[in-house]
Amino acid sequence: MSPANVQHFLVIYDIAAGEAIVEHFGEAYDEALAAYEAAERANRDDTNVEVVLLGSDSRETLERTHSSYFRLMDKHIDQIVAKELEELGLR
Amino acid sequence: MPVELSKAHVNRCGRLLRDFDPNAFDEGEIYAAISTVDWWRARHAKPLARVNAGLRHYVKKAGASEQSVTQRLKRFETIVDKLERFPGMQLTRMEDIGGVRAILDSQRQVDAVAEALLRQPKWTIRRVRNYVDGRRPGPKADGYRAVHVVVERDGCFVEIQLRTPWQDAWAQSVEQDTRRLRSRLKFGDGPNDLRQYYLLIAEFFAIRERLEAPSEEFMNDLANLFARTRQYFPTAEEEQSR
Repeated sequence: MSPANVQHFLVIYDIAAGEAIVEHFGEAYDEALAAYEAAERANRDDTNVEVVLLGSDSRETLERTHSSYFRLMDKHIDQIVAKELEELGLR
Repeated sequence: MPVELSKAHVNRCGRLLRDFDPNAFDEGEIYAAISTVDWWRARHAKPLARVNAGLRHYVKKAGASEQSVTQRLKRFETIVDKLERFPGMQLTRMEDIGGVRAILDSQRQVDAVAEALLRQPKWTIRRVRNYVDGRRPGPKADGYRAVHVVVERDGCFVEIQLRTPWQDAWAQSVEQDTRRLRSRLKFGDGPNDLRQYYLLIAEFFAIRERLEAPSEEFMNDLANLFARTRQYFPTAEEEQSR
C-alpha cells in the first residue's frame, strides 16, 4: 500500500447514543482534511460529539484498531472479566 | 493561509489557545490561532501517510496482517487539552499529532516490529517508550501497556503505537468508558475504585499474555473490585435496549 492509497474516514461519534457515523473519502486526503476541520468547528461546543480523521486500508481495519468508536459489546474488558469470574465461580 | 508558518508562531498560537479565557479574549486572534493549529496539524498529514504505508511493510515482514494498521490525526480538542495538561510543552514539540496504531498478534511480534523500526534508515527515531513489564519506563500508572516509537519524518513527529490484542482491548475499553462516563479515566483520573479495577485488569491480561496463572488472592481481589464497580456498567438489559 502506498501513502497515496490510504483510505480516509471521518468518524463522527455520538457519545450518548454510542454510535458512529463514518464518512468515507477514499484517497481524497485534502478533501477529508477540510471536512475534518469543518466538522470540528461545527461541533466545537457540543460535548456529546467527538470527531476524528482516520486512515487505513478499509473500514473493517479501523473498526479493529479504533474499536472504541464502535460497539465493543462482549469485547469490553469488563465483559471478559465477568466471564472469567463466572467460570471460576467467583461471581 | 501562508504556505509556511514559523515554529515560533505556531507555538505562540498554541499558548494562546492553552491560556484561553472565555471572559476575556480577542475573537480575531483566537480564530487565527485555531487556523494556525489546524495548519500545523495538516502539515503532519503527508508524513503520517508515509509512516502508515512504511509501517505496513514491517508489520507484514513480522508475519502479521497489514489489516491491523490505522493512522489518525489528533483531534483539535485533545491537542489543546494536552497543552493544558503539560503547560511547558511547545506545540511543535508535541509528538503524537500524527499517530499510527498497529494491533499485532503477540508481544513477540510487537518487539519484532519495534526492532525493525529501530533499524530502518528512512525515519529518525526520536524516542522509544516500552510501556511493558520489566522494561523502561514500564506500564503507565493506570495500567496502560504498549510499545510506542516516535519517529521524525519530513520535519514532523509521528507516534507509532504497537499493541497486542489484550493491551488494545484494555485501552479501547478505557477510552470508551472515558467518553461514556464523561470522566478522565484515560488521563489517570476518575472514580478510585474504577481506576483500581482497570489497573488490576491490565495486570490480569499481562499475566495471561505471559501464559502464567494468576494467584487465588489476585482473582479474589479482582472479583471484589468487579462487585464494587457495578454501578459504572450498564446491565445486559440496558445494553440491549440502547
